[in-house]
Order: sequence, then C-alpha cells, then structure tokens
Amino acid sequence: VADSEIVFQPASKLGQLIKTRKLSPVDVVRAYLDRIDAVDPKVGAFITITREQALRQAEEATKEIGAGRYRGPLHGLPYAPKDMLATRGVRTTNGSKITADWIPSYESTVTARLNDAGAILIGKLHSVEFALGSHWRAPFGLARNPWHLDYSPSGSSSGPGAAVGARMTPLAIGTDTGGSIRKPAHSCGIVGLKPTYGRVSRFGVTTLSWTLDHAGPMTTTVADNALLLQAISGADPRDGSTSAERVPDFTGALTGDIKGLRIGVPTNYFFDGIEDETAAAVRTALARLKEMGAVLVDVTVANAELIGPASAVIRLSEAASFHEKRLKKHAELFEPLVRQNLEAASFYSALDYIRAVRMRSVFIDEVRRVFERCDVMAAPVANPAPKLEPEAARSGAATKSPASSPADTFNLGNMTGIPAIVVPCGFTAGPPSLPVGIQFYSKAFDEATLFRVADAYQSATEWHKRRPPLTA
Amino acid sequence: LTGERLEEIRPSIEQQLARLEAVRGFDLDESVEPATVFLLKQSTHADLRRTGG
Repeated sequence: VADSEIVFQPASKLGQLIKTRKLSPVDVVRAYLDRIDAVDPKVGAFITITREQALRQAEEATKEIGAGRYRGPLHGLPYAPKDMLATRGVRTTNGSKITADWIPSYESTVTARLNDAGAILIGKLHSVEFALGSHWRAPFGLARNPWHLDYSPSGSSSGPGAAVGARMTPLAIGTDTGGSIRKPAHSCGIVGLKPTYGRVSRFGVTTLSWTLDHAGPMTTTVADNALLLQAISGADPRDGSTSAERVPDFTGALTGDIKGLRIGVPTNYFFDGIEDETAAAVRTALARLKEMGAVLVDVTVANAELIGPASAVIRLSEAASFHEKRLKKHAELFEPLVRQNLEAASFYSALDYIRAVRMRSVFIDEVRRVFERCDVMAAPVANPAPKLEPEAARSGAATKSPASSPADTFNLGNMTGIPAIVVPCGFTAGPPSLPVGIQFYSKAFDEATLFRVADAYQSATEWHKRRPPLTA
Repeated sequence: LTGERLEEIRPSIEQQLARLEAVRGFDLDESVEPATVFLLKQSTHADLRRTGG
C-alpha cells in the first residue's frame, strides 16, 4: 500500500498488513497524522491531537509486534473518541468551556479496553457542548461535513462522523442518547452502531441521560465496526447497567448470507417527512437486499410518533438533574442553547417524567411484538445533512410544528434499548452530493444479525468506497 | 429562575411544554409500570439466579 493510500484502507486490512509486518504502526499513525494536518484545519473534527503520545506508542507497538507480541486485530491502529470519554492524562473537554481544562485521572472503560487491545489514541473529537448544544455555537468551533464544508456533519458525535468520513482516523467512538451516533454516520457516509443498552460500559463517559446514553463504534466499513464493538463490549463492574450477556464473535457473523432473513419495513411513521430522494435510496437498498435473498415483511410500530416526545422528557429531565449543581453555580458559562434547554426542563413535573418512563414499557412491549414478525427492521435515518448556518437564519427551525418535522427514527432504540446500525446506501444527486444511510434495528443483544445484514449489503455495493472531495 | 430570565427562555419553555401535550394525552393503562421498575426486576432476578436464590 502506497503511503498516500493508507488512510483509504479499511482498518481490518491495515490490521492484517501490520500483523504480517508489511506495514508498521509507525507508518500507519504517521499517515493519519499527515492526513489530519492536511484536512482538519478545514474540517475541524479534532479538539485535541495527541501527536507525540501517538508516535511514541506507535514505536512501542512496532517493537512489540517485531518481538512477536502481537495483541490482536486492533494492535497498532489509531483511534479517536468523542471528547465525552475520559482519557487519563489527556484533556477531556465534553465540548464545553466549563470543562475545557479537565485532565482526568482515570480512563473510561471503552478507551481502556482499546488501549489494552493495542490501539493508539490519536486525538479527541469534536462534540457539541455536553452532547446537547448547538453546532453553530459549539465552544470549540464548527465541525464541518467532509462531503461539503458548508454542511453540518450532524451530531452530537460531530467529530467522530467528520473524522472518519474525512479518513482522519479509521476507528472512532461516539455516544448516542437520541441518534447521536447514527445521524452523523448517515450525514458523513460512514457506518455507526448504537449497541444494545448494557452491551458497552459507560464508565468514564460523561452523562447526558443515564437511562438513554450509549457509546458505540463509528467506522468506514461494517467489518471494522464489528472489530471495534468486539473490543469494547462486555460486563464492567464499574458500570452497573452493563449486562453479563455473552459477547458473541461479531466478525464470525459476517457470512454474507442473508437468504431467508426477514426484514421488517415499517408501513407507518418512519418514512414521514423523509425527502423523496432519501426515501428512494432506502427503498432501492431494500430491493437489493431482497434480490440477495432477504424477505421483506410489512410491519407497524404502534405509537411510534410518541417515542420522540416521551424521550425528550426523559433526556432533558435527566440532563437537568445531572447538571443541577453546575447550572446553579455557573449558568452563564453554558453555551446559550444548552443553558436554555436545561433551565426549561425544570418545567417538567415528576408526573411527566414517570409517565414518560411508563410509556417506555409500552414501547418495549411493542418492539417485542414487531420482532415476532421479522429479524431486523429497516428504516430511513434522516434527511441529508443540513447546511451550517446560524440558528436564527434557519428558516422556521424553531417554529416548525412536529407534524411537519421528519420522523424521529432514532429514539426507538434509545427508549427500548435495542441496537441499531447505519450503513451508507447512496448519495443525493446534488449539488452538493451528500451521503444517505439506511438504518437497521434488531432484537436486544442481536448486534450480530445487524452486522450480517449490513455487511452483506456493503459487500454488494460501493458507496463506502467513495472518497470525500477534500484537498489539503 | 428570575422573572427576567423566564421571559428570555419563554419560547424554549413553550416548545418543551408543547411536546408534553402528546405525552400527557396518551392513554396509559394503570397496569403499566415504569420501565425502570422493569429493569430493576430484571437485574434483581439475574442477581438471584447468579446467587442461586
């Protein structure tokens, strides 16, 4: 592989080349640092770049592998988490000026597991403030969409989406409380997975909402995503919400065989307000999967339109509780939109919160019913990435009625805990030509089936091989 | 929150309360328990299984 081509290879291929010593971790880390130097001044995906530490660790990994101590498929590969994950000795800002100088004395379980697997921290990635703020007023500047710099990468995992999309890291970790991994995966043309609630530890991940937060992998290919989830999954005594459920061999699930797999296609709500071109890309992908042997089944998700409003009550109530002290002491230090959202949340009553949590039980029952009819359920993700502009200039953004908004396709996963994956399935005609993704849901703890269907689709298509039009 | 601040964030409060209309209007059967209770039960049962209880 030529040096200039390293960053365009899947992590799984780079890992193989490192294992067989055709490439060294130093070659790989240098290639990505060069790519960051060349394009990040335009994209703005990184808040912190850990250049010296990464090069030092790459040299150590090169020696270790040379001495026959190969740790596994992530050894020597760079990774970068959203800056909501605590990294010992490395600044962790949460995308906020309030915690801009925080240097944690401990490591999140996710990053600790990646470090143990031999992966190399290359930097910390942009997030809107506390995963709740606005893109336009993000304290660490604007992160931009690598497919068109005037467009948003979406969020709140804006940095992971933009960095993987721009090929500045092969492996990233995002967080998802209401679609924050899946939206940027869709907007940046990459693969993003929200695991089952309890599959991945949230120890050391700054809270937005205890009962809705998830951390998960963001990559260019499904195979890389499976490798990354494998490394970070499993019970953690430091996070009581993690599950003792067995972690299967995710890579082993990539058989390419989807014959007879039942894919549920919702006939209500999930396509509402989705632009024709985006909906058509999703339906074309489904037709392709049918040609490959999958069986398409109509499904309905009762009360789907209530999932978003109920999740907002839970998300904002829990966020306001988490930030209670900070809000009393330093309200003025919050980015205005975050402050406003947290303050307004105090107008939800305890009854409202409990009602929303009881509605969650109804949605969990509904999901059980849906998965009696299918193995995975497909859905659009969202409309293409929005243009970056001040909130005030956005036509009708604040006044848009819920009826005219596109369907909230995300919160089904956060409210019921089931996993979901997004994989690229096309581009808009443009200009600008922007990525479109398709989303698949499965039963709890069945990420393996999500990987199987998404990988089969990716193996039959070329969308993930397109390169964003970025030059130094 | 001061009266002045309340006025400043009134649109945001109104937006959040508008979302509540749908939540408050949903017909919940009294047998439906909060999902947190469901999760607590699950984890307790799992603990009991682990300890042979």
